[in-house]
Amino acid sequence: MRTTLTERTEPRPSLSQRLDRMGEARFGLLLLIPTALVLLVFLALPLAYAAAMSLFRIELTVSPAWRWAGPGNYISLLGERAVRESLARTLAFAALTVGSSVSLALGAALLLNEPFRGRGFARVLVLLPWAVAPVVAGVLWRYLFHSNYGLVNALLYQAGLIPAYRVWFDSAPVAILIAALATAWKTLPFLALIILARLQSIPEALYRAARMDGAGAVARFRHVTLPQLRGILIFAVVMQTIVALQSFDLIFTLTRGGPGQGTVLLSYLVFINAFERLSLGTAAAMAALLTLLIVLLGGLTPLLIARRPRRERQDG
Amino acid sequence: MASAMPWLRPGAVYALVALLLLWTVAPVAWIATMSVQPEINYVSVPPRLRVEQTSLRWYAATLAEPEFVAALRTSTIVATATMLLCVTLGALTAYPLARLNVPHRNLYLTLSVTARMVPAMILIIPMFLILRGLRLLDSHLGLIIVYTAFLLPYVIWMLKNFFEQVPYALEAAARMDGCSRLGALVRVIIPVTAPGVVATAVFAFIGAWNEFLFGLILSTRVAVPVTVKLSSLVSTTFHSDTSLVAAAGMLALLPPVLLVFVLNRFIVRGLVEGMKY
Repeated sequence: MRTTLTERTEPRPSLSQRLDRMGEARFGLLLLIPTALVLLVFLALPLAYAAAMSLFRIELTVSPAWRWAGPGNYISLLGERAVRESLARTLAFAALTVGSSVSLALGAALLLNEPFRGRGFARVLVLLPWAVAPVVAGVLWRYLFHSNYGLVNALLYQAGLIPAYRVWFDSAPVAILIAALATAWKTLPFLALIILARLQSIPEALYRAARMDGAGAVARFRHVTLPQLRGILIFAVVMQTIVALQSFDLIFTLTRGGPGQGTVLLSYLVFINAFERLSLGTAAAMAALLTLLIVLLGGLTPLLIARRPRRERQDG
Repeated sequence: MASAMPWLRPGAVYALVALLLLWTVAPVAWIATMSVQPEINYVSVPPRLRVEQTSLRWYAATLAEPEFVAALRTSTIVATATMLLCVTLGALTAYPLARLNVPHRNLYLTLSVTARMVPAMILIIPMFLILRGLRLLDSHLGLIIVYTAFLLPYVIWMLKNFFEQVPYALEAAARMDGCSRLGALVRVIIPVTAPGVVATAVFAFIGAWNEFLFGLILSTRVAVPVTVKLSSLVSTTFHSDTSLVAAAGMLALLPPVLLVFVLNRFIVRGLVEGMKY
């Protein structure tokens, strides 16, 4: 009874009231704390941990000891043939992936922007690959090109284009190409979606003005549509480069790195070093270089988009 | 907007759309076919698909496999919990970043964009050791925390973009009516941006359901997600019935695909608005 009396005479502020009396900055920082803790322990700490590991020789197959190596892992990486080959493969894969997915996505976006019956349905159906896990996409494309029961073999055979079923994955360049197409299949919906949104936001007045200046359909496309898409296309190229450089899941189920080392991209090489050879120091150094490459590339996007040629800047 | 390519004839448009849809659907349609036909039908050259032999028995067999059912359960639990945790933490973080005068706000935003570029491959090397230290290997909780940390930077960014669009007057009015600060977030900002919040939640659920690498390394028996289970089926059962693997693949891809089809309106707008730089 007594406690309730004292509370009545001198009410203690509730948590919500205390929050309301706090300064705006303090309140905001307070809200950031839970997320900051999670990200510190499970994102920043592993990152720093990996960076530290990259400076040691850690061969778990030999001993659990960490032996100081300084920049040794990084130096030996650059001299290793497997790394150089994998880097070349990764760059080729990235070029194929970016080229095919951005051009296909641009085509798809332009198409889905045209008026036709069933357009709403088509726009929904096209989303399908976005929902599919990269690992599952690898399985799908593996079965699509399977040597015994692949749809591609069946169709080409019945069309008379190949005399017998082919083994597609026995050639490294073909396997890389299939992996790039499968990656393009998976990311096309997202890229097409953002390009389509940009297309829809191009002001009609620009087209009218171009028409009054006597521009034909092709000229309007070249001088109005394409320049307006420039920023989003650069964004798409950079996003897709990041996706390509990070690629692992899809390759894991599509080819398992084969034939031989034929589809072992950099991230896959990190995986092999870390979890098959248990050379954690080497793996960490390799992963650190890959991360650096990705962050630098990703950081370029805003710069590239900002540097839009003034001549084409008609919306400002 | 009117056509950007008026030189395309309607016939050409329909032909190209048909090609686009074929490219989109064929990989899934083929495995779907394999999952309801006896292996002998699609192994024969050329394939002889028989409608009267269509059967769901491979689905029944897969769903009678305790390990596969456990994997589906793990993915459901982990993806749902990750989604809830991501949206809760994400909203608490995005709110001050979008609407309050927080010191070093731009620094935090830059950090969140940079964090999105960090590949899972570098985190996984020490993550195994960290989770082992915390005794969280091969557990649902371990996966939930790791997935949440990995997806949070995306979720924060998306929610921030949505929260920024709410007019300040709306929030001020709620506060004048006696709404507390947190009350304004829960009763005004989140309801007003509900479509965006739903899109973000779906994004987190699908991201967690589709995750592979962390599950592959951090789980061995108890908390194996369906993506990892599927990949082990693909690599080990080449001698057994492929229709079973096809059915397992369909079961792994159906939940996110159905979500996207049912909620497509939210998702299209959510991705476009939420991913903006």
